[in-house]
Amino acid sequence: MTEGAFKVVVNAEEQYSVWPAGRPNPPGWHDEGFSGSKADCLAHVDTVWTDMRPRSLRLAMGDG
Amino acid sequence: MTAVREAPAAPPQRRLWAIEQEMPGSTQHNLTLEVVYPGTLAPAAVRAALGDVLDRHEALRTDFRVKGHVLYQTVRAQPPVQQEYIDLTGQPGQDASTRYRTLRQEYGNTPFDLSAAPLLRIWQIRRVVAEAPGDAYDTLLLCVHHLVADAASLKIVSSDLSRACRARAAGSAPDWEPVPVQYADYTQWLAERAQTPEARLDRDHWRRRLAGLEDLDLTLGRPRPATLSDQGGAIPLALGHREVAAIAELARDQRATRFAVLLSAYCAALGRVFGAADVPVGMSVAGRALPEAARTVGLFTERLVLRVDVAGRPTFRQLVDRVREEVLTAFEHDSIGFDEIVRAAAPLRQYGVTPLVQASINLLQHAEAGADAARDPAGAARPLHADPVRHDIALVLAETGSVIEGVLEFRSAVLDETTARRVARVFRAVLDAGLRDPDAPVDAVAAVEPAELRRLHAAQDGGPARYPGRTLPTLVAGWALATPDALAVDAPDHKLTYRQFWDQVSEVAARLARRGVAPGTETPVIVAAPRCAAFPVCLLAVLAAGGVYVPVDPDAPPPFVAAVARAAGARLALVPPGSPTTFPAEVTALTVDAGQAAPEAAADRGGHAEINPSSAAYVLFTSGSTGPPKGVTVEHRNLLAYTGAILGLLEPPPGAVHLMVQPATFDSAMTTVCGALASGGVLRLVGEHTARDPARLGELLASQPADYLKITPSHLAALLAGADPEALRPRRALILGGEAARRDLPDRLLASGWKVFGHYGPTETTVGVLAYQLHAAAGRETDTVALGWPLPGVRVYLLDHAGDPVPPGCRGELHIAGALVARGYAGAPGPTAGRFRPDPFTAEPGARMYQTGDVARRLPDGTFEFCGRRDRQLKVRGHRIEPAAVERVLSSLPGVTEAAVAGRDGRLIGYVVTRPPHPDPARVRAEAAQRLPAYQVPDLVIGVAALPLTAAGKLDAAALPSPGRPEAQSSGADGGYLPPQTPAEKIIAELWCSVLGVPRVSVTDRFFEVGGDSIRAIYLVGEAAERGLQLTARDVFENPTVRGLAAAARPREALPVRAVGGGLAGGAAPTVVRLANPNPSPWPPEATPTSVTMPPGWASHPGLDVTFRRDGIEIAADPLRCDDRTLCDLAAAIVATGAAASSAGATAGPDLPAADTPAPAPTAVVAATAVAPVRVPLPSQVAAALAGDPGDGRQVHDAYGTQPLHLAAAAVLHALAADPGSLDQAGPAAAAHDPAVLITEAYLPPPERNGARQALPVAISLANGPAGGWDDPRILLQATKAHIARAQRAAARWTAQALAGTTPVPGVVLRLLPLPGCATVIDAGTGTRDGQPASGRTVILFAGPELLVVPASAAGRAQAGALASRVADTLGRLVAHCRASTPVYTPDDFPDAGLDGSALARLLTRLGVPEAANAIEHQAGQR
Repeated sequence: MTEGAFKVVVNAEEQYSVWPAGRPNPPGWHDEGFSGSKADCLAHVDTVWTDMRPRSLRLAMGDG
Repeated sequence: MTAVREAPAAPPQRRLWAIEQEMPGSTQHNLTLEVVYPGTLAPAAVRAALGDVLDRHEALRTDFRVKGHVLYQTVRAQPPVQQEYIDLTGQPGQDASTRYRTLRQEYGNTPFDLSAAPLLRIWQIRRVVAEAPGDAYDTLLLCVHHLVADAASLKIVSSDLSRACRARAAGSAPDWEPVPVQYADYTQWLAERAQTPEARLDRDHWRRRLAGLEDLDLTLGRPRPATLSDQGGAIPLALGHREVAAIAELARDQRATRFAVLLSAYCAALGRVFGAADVPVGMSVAGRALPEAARTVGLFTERLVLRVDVAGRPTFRQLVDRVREEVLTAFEHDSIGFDEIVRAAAPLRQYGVTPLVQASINLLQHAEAGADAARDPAGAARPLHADPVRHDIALVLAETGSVIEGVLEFRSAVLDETTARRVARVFRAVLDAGLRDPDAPVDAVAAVEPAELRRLHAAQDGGPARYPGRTLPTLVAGWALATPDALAVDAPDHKLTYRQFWDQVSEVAARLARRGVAPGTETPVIVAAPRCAAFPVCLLAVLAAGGVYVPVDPDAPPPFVAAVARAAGARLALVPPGSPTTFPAEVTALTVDAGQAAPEAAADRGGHAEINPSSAAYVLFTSGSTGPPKGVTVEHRNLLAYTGAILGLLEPPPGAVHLMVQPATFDSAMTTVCGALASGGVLRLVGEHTARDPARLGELLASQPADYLKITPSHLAALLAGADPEALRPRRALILGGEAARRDLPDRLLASGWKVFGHYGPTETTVGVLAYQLHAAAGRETDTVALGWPLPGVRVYLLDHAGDPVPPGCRGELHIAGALVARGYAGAPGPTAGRFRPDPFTAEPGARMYQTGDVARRLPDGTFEFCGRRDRQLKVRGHRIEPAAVERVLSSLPGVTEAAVAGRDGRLIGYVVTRPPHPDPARVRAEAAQRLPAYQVPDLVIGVAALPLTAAGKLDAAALPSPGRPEAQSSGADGGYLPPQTPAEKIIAELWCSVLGVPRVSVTDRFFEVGGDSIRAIYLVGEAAERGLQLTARDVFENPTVRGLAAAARPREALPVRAVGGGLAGGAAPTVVRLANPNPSPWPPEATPTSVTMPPGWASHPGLDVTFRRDGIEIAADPLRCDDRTLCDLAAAIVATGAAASSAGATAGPDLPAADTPAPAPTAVVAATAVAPVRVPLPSQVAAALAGDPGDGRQVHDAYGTQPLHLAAAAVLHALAADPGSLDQAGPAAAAHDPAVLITEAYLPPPERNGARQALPVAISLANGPAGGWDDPRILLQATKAHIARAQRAAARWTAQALAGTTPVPGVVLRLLPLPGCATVIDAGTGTRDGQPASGRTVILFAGPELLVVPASAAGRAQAGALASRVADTLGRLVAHCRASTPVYTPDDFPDAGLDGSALARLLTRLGVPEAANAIEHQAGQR
């Protein structure tokens, strides 16, 4: 894993974002696993965040 | 009092003196010293001792006056000392102590008359020891003005005084030797040092190092006071011995000093509290650069400028490293003083603001301080801190033994105490954290403490979101039930009641449902409708059906429509009948005809409970940007929260008319749509033409007024320009949003009784997040409309670049959190993740905040002041400019209705829309120049018919036209230059030009905004005196324009005299310029330089020698110390000022040049020897090329990127190489040595402000030419360029050696002498000093249209002639070749790229310049 300034984080609604590596995550956000430069993190998110609907909505719609 | 010695004051003294002039009666520069003796001293002994000390130190006998334009320090012989003896022995202990304390307070508080030496006084106070009334002891209180002493000086004085007292008490004089260097000597040394190449290099260093440095935002947005004041506060600080030991240890680990550690913490604190990534700090240094001056009394302290980078989240350890390097670098370039640094860096100047550094740090060593001075046998001396100038904020620390004590001082007019305390606290916190764990990031220390942050964020929290219903359609359905016959939609084509409206919505929703649009599918449906009845029907229908509303401008070009459809994934669209919109094939367009009555829907249809609030409601795509359209997805819950907020803000009653003038594609329109339909009001739509036409709109509203209007300030301003405001006035409220508005627009409306709301919010946070009702400003702090308070459901944070909250008042980036944060960018998860970030300030898990890119600061009342967009900020001429600020001023000018500014080609261009009587744009610019700081004044103002707006009604800055090239502009090219009219104005204007070093000034220019400062103001006063005008420095501050100052000036009586100094170094042939006497009458025979006034700045130039002859002035310039351009400037200056001479003995009245007397042109004489030169005329093309005239003259140089000097030097080198024998005739010096040719003025520096420029001469050699290669013009020019470039890099060293005599000066001197408008006359026999021929050297001179070669001796005349012909010939061929050539590049043309020949060739080939590439290869092969 590359040491970088940022890391990819994700919340319970499966929404992704980035956060400075080395800072504690705000409540409800956990590490997705990827870290690196901000640009790299965003590029990574582009590949993994496929459905931007909140998870609770998907569940309610039956799309899990 | 007899003057013993007079010399110009040193730069630190000038600086301090200038400040004193601005605060007369100030005592803040009185230094005080308290020396306690264990016994008593006879007052006579004290007097004698003091006399001894004064004798020893000239500085203590010095006073200050301005003569001419120079501040002089004058050492007096035996000035009377103010000495007092006060006996407190008779008083009881308590009273004596009190009295003593009062006295001690007083004696520092009496100002000195700086023109009366000595700037010193002494009080001797006798007291008794409390426990032993028989034991008396004396305390000497010494007060000295800082102009003549610094902290180290006080120590010297104190010890000398003690020594002298002891000696005198014993009845004899102290035996000490004279001090090796007195202060006036040191001043001289400083002046010489400023002329050295080292000083020049240091100036260049500081210019580069401090480029782009911004002042600290200390006032946090509050205006600075208009006058200087030294009211201030101090916050004590103390560091115990454990901390001090830890500091020492870290310092050791990082090979830094304790000072560096403390400075690191200080910079981190300043950066945190004031939101700066780049922290400038001033540091006092002892400044005794001469070792011999160690025991000299005087003002030596200097200020260094440190620029510390705190960005990038460094650890404390890393920061200490950075600081260490910064301090070292500063010390490496300390050969120039602070005012030279300021001059080099040329920062933006503000009155009352110390340039470059408003924060300072000072670490002092204290002598051991005893606890009870009365018992201290050594006689403790307690000096005060050393920094003469109070800074806005200063950290002063003193090491006493193993602890450090100090204060954080601040000017209370600039900083408030809360902020100062914050700095102190953060300083301690950073230091403590950094010592505990140096490898933790420094910004782990918060600028805002947790409790304060909680309060702050609570105040920035709009409270819980208010949801008026479940979805917008359910609300509308409710109104259809409640008020079915009330008007819902009032459109140009149809009107619909709520029942009709709802029926139509239901019908269309059903149609959509049949095509698969259902809740939970989030099916996008495009709606391409203008403001007509079908529009709201379609909008609501899509929402009701559970689809996602995607508005598109019906007139958008098909490719854009297709792009939106693709980005949204839309396959359905709704359009009104007759829609012109073309959709791509995969989109099915359904027509919605609002004119057709729809089947009555079931009254209880609606509810639509199955629409999940988290499902998407709409996606708004931004138009007008490049690249694929970016859409923001807003969810139903966002929209509902916004609707609830806006209803709460406006409280619109049912039936109110909400006028929509904004496009449906602009989310701002949602305010009106939701505001109307959710409250049972009328949504009134007007067509495009009506919305933009003030007359039509006014007419429409006259018969049917509206209640609510949401509009952008630009749009409103455009409408108000063409209509009576009352015709457009909404009955209930105007909502201004979408862009920052200046206050005068709403203020005008408020004055007429309008109710106005401000509204702010990016699309990404659902229409609007901050809003408030404006009131007529009472004590408002900003001149823009503030952004407002958070709406319910909104939380606001202002964060710095690291994501930490900034202190209140500090600028930060706005982040919005809460219920209005939208889902994100449709189909763009990466960018969404980048701008929608985790919200760390709430307990709500997984919450997000949106990073707006807007910079704002919090105002005391809890609203926010908009400080600009991060991305719209312009950097013009190195200054950061917020366009909105300039636009506000421009649009406030008479006759201007709207304004915009943009950066184009590195210039700031203003665009104005005017109304009758249309003012000339140049006039507008001149007016703006009176209200804006110089760097914000547009270079050019252009009138435009209208400002381009985006479809959303905001300014489209990118569409503002670019003006043509500067030469092509007709109007505004002068930019509002108003020439001086009266004789006094003309003189003042000339003086300004001279003092400021600018070619011209307009009568409305403001002194401090065109380069003036306090010191220059004083020079100006001096020079005015020479021209017969009486002014004071105060006059300059109070009447800072040319016009104002001319009105304030009064005529003066006598002309002062001044000495002209200088001498020539040996070794180099001087250039002599002879000027015909510019006076009508001949100089009297006894005219001397002292009886003639020379133009300012030339007095002490070391490279010039001036002689007066009957009919002219002769100036000899040492080429190693004075470049030719300087020389020519002097000649021009003499002519321009029309030096007035007074005949011997008589005092003439002011001899002001009459306005219309033409200045006589100087005739220039250039001769190095007694031998007449050979003159060869040059063809005009060649002369033009050497002059670099625009047009032909410059085009010649395009071929090889040359300058005139290169051509001249190439020709000379070629001629010399072709006939080496000619060098023999040039004298033995030439032939024997390499380098062989001295080129003066090879440096071609840019003109500097108000100082003699100095180009360094460059010596190049014949030896390194390519064998046989001199004949190829291309190779010749390239080689010459390379030679000169190399020699330029080594110029400083070579010149130093030549001045020191360790390198002989070459025998051939090449001068390119630009004497515009001069006739060149060579006058053999008069061009020498004292009739002695100068050392034998050949001078080759290019002077305008002539080439002159002056041989070293008469015998060489023939050779000189041949040389001249060869040079002229070569020159002609070179110029012809260049004119015919295509440009050729060499690696030297790209000095920073580090290319070699083949790399460059490859690059050029890739760029498609093959012939150039081939030339490189050819040349590379030849070398």
